[in-house]
Amino acid sequence: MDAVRAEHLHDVPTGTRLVHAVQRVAYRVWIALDVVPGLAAFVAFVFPLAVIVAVWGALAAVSLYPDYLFPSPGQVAVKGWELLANGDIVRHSGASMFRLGLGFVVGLVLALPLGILIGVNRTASAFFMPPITFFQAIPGLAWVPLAILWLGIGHKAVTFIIFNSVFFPILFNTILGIRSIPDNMVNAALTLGASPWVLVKHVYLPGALPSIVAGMRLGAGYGWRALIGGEMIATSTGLGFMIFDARQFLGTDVVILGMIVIGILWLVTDVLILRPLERRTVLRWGTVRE
Amino acid sequence: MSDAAPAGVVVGDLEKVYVDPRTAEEVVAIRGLDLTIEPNEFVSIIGPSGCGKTTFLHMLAGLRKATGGRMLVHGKPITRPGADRGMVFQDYALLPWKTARENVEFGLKIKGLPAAERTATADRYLRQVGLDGFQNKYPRELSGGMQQRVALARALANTPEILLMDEPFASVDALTRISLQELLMQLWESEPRTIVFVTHSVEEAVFLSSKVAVFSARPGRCARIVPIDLPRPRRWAALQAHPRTAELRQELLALVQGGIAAPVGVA
Repeated sequence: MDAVRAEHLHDVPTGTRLVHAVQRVAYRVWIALDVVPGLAAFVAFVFPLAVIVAVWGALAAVSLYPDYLFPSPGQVAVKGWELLANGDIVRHSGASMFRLGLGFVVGLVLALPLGILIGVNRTASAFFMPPITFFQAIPGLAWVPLAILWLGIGHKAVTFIIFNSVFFPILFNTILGIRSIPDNMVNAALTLGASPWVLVKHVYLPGALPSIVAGMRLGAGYGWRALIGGEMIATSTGLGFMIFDARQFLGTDVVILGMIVIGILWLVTDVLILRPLERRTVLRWGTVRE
Repeated sequence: MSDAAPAGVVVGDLEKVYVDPRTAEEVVAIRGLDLTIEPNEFVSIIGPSGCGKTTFLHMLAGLRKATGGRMLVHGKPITRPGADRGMVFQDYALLPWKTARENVEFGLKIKGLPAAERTATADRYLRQVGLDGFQNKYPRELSGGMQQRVALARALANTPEILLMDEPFASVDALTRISLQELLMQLWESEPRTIVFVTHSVEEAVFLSSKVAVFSARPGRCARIVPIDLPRPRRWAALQAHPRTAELRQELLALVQGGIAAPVGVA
């Protein structure tokens, strides 16, 4: 039956022909876009998001909820322009990014040496692993009450909460990375006369680096989530504060705007900094073959 | 090349007992091991698997500690790993984030040699092992045989008093193995040094060694020393036809398989 149909194009159902036509057009568009490198991939990423915005707009137009509870994309865009112009977005984003950076650096600086020590030394591992296993089970946000009491409302408390989220993924990945280095690489260095410091610098650190970088990316992601939560409670600046504060005045447009900014900031950080870093180390270090 | 004086090795009544982490039982890997290695001797160690030959090599390197007996290199007891005892591993153990040259330079860098001197020395040894032009390649870009040449150059460039080799040619293909064995013979014959070579291949032991130490099954000890009285230079083409080669192989094979090397009660 099918074979007979294929010979007579007129018999192909209209729906199928329509799908084929759309596919052909989409393919042509794809080829055309490919002239600019990366453009096709960008469009492929943005198109589904555009559909969501369109559905959002349609729902807002139907007005199931009043505008002040469910603003349209247009209202949010207007609000966005307004807050961009008066500097609010930049101010709050800046505060959030600063805290993320600070908490991240503190977490990295503490997790890296401790991870190396635990990865290398059995006694250190036996001593530190039980408390670390316990504390990593406590979500960063659970530290909010103590952070506020100890450090007060503001940068310090939020940074502490981020540090807590960043620290453990980096620590565990460092330990994992160190332990996955083949014994004979260490033995080879030892028989060449390597001191403990030379071992760390030339064998342990580079050997664990792909894993460490993966942990950094993971930690930054956790930190970003903890940051927004922490800012809702423990400070009076930052994107988390901005959206939580807006809720009090039914500023749903500000809330949605803030959520979009939070998403975009993370994507930009991840795509422009963390992912390239991870790719480069993993490729260069030969853990993954090209 | 060796500015360091060649070392003799004296091992007396050596013992290695460890606790198996899974069964928590004590395992006697080595007991009553005596072995003397003269300066510039090429000694191979063969024996049934599990006889402690690799453990012994690691102990000579200082990577594992003895639980009894004496181990003297150049009259000094072995306490820890050091640049005076270089090692070549079965799995090459090159650092993947360093180029061939950087790998060979590594020991010299540890010794604090200036960069220009390091590079010149590394390139000379890479040339000796036939890797001229591959200085800037990473290990993953090299074949197994080439990686082992780099590892050999790395160990030699450090001018150790003793070279310890742990089944270094076991994971390359047969043709590569022959060329690596001949390379090692060329290097050793032009510049003798003390080499302790662990292998499970009787052919390889006969081809390379000045003498072969046959280990008994666990607990390992040196059950027999067989001097290899074959002419030098050793090249496969000449030695295969030599009548003494076959005799020595048979003698060693008999020792490893059935005779003294088998565990008590099994033979």
